[in-house]
Amino acid sequence: MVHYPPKERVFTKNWNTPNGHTLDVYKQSGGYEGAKKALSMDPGAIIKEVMDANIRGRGGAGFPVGRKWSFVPKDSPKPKYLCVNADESEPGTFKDRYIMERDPHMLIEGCIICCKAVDAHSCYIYIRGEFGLALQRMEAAVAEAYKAGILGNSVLGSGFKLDVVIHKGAGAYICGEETALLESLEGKKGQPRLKPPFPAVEGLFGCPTVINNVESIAGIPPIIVKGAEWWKSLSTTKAEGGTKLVGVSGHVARPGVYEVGGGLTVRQIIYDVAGGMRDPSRPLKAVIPGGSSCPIILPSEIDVSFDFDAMRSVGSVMGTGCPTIIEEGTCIVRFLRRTLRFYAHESCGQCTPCREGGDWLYKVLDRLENGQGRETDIALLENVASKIEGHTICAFGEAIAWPTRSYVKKFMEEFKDHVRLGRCPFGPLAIAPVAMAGDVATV
Amino acid sequence: MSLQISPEAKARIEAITGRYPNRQAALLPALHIVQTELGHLSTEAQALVAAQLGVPATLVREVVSFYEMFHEHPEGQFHFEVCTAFSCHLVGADALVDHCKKKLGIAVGHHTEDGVFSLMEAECLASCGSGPMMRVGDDYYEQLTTDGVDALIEKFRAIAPSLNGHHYEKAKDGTMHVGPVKGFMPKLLPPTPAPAPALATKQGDTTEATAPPSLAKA
Repeated sequence: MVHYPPKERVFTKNWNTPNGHTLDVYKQSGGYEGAKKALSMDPGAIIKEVMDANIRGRGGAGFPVGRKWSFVPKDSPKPKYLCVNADESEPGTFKDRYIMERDPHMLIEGCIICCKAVDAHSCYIYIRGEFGLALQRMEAAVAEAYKAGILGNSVLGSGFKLDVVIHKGAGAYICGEETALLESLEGKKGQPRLKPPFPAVEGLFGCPTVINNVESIAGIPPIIVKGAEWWKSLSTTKAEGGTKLVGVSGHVARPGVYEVGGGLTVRQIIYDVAGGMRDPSRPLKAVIPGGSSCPIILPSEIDVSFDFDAMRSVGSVMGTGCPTIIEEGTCIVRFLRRTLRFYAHESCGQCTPCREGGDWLYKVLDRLENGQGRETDIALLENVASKIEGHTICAFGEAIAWPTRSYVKKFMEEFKDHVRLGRCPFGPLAIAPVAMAGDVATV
Repeated sequence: MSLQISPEAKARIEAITGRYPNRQAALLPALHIVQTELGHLSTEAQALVAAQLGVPATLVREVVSFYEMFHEHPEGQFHFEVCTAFSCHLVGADALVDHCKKKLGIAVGHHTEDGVFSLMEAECLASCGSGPMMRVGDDYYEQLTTDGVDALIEKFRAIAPSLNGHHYEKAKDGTMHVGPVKGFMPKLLPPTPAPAPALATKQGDTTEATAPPSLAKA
């Protein structure tokens, strides 16, 4: 049985409570009980519980959270660190910002539990610099927590020491890549590192480091309080336990962030959760499942469970879990040009295929859209994309190649039309504001 | 050197260095502090930061030029960052940028002659469910229409003199605006009459048949 809202709200329970971002409200809703319990637990038992719960990284890759923690060496004499990746900047993704704005203590409690599990005493929360309100709320929450003895030399009176630092980023998409984030935190350009060594062994300042997404860490406290079995019961898919935040944007009637039980199909998310298409006369054309780097899927492919494993069967990925919905009448070439302009702009410049290739692709798409496309351009897109994919240090190369190759493959006729007609067959996109619905109350 | 960082800012940077195992890690926060105080990060300002943190000036330059939020040249007091990423693109971000260009009489990446406004196309600002939108200082103006933008420009023009040449970050009382422009709520599409009560397509699904309250009011 899956439905919206989920059987139990985990992430969004305080979102629309007045002053839901304050310590008082958080405590009233059972806040910091998980941290209290974890502080008296054996670290191995915490990791086992998180592993059993089958919570997977919510930043896009879907790596099991518990397993990531278990890679941190226990006998290392070096200090260990936790870095929370709050550099949410994948186009189409808008969930972590709301967690930090509306329930910052949930994230702090998750940090305490993770640090206890891996024996870390310093935690850095790397927040995207543009997130003014999230930064303000997180800083206020950390200050509240220190004052209440929840952070500091003796967390909740347990004798366990933990410092949490809010680190403000400065606007670079690539810093959401985990090793680029570490470089950035160390005060450098955010250029990804070669792996191995993996951050669990050699991460921040050369020390063992756990890096997790905001949603992954915020989901930990209820798992510790109520157990792995309860968490798994919130989902109907074996791929992942628990509820998840789904941010639906684009041409739907009710875009917004929704908390849903795991195991819904893409169709259910579009038509049942987000209210279907905004204009009934314009049916669904395509879906970008979870952020701009995901391969596109067609209306014939939406009857698939929206989880990390099942999405592979339609040649895509779940990514960040924030689908963007596109209606008929939208130009895919223009849409891809928009996506590629982003990647061309955000490439860190370290690897040649990505730095040069992204810009080439953008230029080819620009001339296609402007009616100067050549017969050979479509093959050229595929050719360039295939030479970026797999030839870069980080997954940014895939993030350029996947959309390009899948859009061209699935909308080949549209690309050909641009060349044949010598112009874009679609009209301009009008300003049509959308109102946030879902679990975030509109202001 | 004529340019100086205030003792307060210096002390804040010093306090921040204590949070990291080495001084270089405080570079990004330090640059934020100095940029807020001086408006932009000139070569001279960068040298001051380098000196205080004890890092090479070339490294500071490298970092400043890498990150989008650091500016080596002055920008307008009201720096418009219109989100043009794909979700906002679908709901008309391009047309909104065109409107801003026309209204302000400047191209993207430029500022008005009086230095009050500058315009930039931003990448995704994580406000995908409430586009088109833009960021001004720390404020988010969402669900924008051309009327809403016009109203904002008028409002900003009126308060610009009170900023004494400084950039707008947030309101004087520290509050931030997140949401639509007040008084200019766009006419939105009517909500679908009855939200789908239960999710169909699944056998044996026994979800309750009432609409969730948060959907009803949308």
